[in-house]
Amino acid sequence: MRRFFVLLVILSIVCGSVLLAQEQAPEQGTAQSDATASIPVFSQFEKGDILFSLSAGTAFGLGFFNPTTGSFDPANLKPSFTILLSLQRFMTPNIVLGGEIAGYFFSTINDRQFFLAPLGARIGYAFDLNPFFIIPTVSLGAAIMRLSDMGHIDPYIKTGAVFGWSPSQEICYTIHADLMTIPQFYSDSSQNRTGLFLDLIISATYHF
Amino acid sequence: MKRFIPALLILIAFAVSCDNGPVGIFASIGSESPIEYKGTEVFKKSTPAAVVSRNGTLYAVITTLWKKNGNTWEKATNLPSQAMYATSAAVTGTTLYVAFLDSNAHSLGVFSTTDDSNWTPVDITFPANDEQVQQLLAVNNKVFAVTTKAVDGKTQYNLYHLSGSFGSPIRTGTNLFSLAYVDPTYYVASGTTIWTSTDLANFSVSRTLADDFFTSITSIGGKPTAVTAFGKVFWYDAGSWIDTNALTKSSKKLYLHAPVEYNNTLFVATNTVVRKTSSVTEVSPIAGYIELAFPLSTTKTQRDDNSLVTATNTVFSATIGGTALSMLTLITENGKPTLYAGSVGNGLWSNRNENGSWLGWQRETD
Repeated sequence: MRRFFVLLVILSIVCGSVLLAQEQAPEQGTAQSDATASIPVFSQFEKGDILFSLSAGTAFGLGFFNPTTGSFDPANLKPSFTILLSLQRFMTPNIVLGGEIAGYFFSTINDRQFFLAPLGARIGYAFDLNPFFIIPTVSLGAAIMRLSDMGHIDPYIKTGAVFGWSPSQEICYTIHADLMTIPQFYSDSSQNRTGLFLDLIISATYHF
Repeated sequence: MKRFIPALLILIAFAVSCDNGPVGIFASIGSESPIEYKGTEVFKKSTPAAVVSRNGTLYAVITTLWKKNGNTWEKATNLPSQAMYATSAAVTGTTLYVAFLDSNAHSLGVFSTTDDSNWTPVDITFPANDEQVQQLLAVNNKVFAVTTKAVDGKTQYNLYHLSGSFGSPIRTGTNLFSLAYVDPTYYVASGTTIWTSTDLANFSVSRTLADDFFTSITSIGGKPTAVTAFGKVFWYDAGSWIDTNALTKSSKKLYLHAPVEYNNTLFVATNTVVRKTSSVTEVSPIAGYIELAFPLSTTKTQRDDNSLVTATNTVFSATIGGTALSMLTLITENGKPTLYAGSVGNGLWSNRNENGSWLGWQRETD
């Protein structure tokens, strides 16, 4: 059932984006013709542009830093199924600011279910390599976690980059690679750990 | 508004870090070890009755007598003649006492050994033909036995004290017995009553309950501490019994039994069982165990769902957290406190404490 759901989400993203790309194909041709005729350097992004991303992928637990011992505990997590939604707005042709919400569905090595839901703000700087682009990003927010009957909310910071390709002005395909750091604090400081996670996520991004 | 949302998110990130549970989520995950069960299905699905330690060797009563050898359990060999099953075990000093049954589940009595090989019947006249040994208890270096007997269609529980022989019952009750000793007084609990005695001959009623009954009593911090079937913790202090309000989950009272204490934390098993008194029938809402921080107080332990610290140690919730516990005991192995939990139909589990941290629940295997 879970595999079916994963497949359904991925198919929805891919099919939806392909359909939209096909619908926009004539415009792309027109835009390129116009651009060739009048604007030799084509900028993909402008101030006020909005990127809306539907993403799915996986994440890997890298380990949990134990400040008491100064060492890393093993992550003991299987790769997650991850979904992510983000909405970003270009404040300048390069600086993008927005928010993101994601859901990470992990299983531990003993099949306990660990759910992680980061909710935060994201800022990035876009390098326009038309038709490609790279956006190094930093995200900051709160991560809501649930393991069995335990719950916790902690801050998180995520650094990484988005590597994208724009077959049209309206649709982009991107790959996210992010390192997420979550310091977890408890009143019993012996339970404090800092979790490190590596995200690998593909997105269909709508550009409007 | 555009600035407000990111600022709000950042504020949430740094200000809304809540604290929940004695074990951190990351710490819990990081301490997991893969559960690779290599034992038999019979052991895996067993219902342990007792785990005791003698001279650093662990013994478990799981249908029969088991002995821990390294990291695995083995059926004890060289048992008394005809001994097939075991019902209970207790240790005083270097002596292991075990109640055995034959292949027809007829009681063979209580045997003792100091070397695992030579077994001596403790009292060849015990138990009587119409009684079955249900429990062996060791308190204040003395051995007690609890038997059941059918009387007028009802089960009567008899408590015996081993003093050369078991002799006659020192108490009769309506439920299994539990004992504690706080010098110079023995506290004996069964059903709705706690009795006290200093000589195990003369008893006086110390506390009775209405619409509730005691399931276990033990000595914690020099105070007799009892738990009940309807979620209360009682302790005797300064000449009187003090009790908490009933611990609840989703407005239903917890069934409590088998309390053990370690490092100012009280671990109490709880099962989803149906309890009946003369006026109340209720199903306990959760199985597993709860943890209560010391010191106990009448108000502090009246906890709602959120502040009631349920079992959160590693793997417990995903493994035996949803099943009833048949036993819970704390044994120090090689200087390291270890909780042993027997689950109803889900085998034997352990959780070792090292350097102040619980390492997580691990399934024991044969």
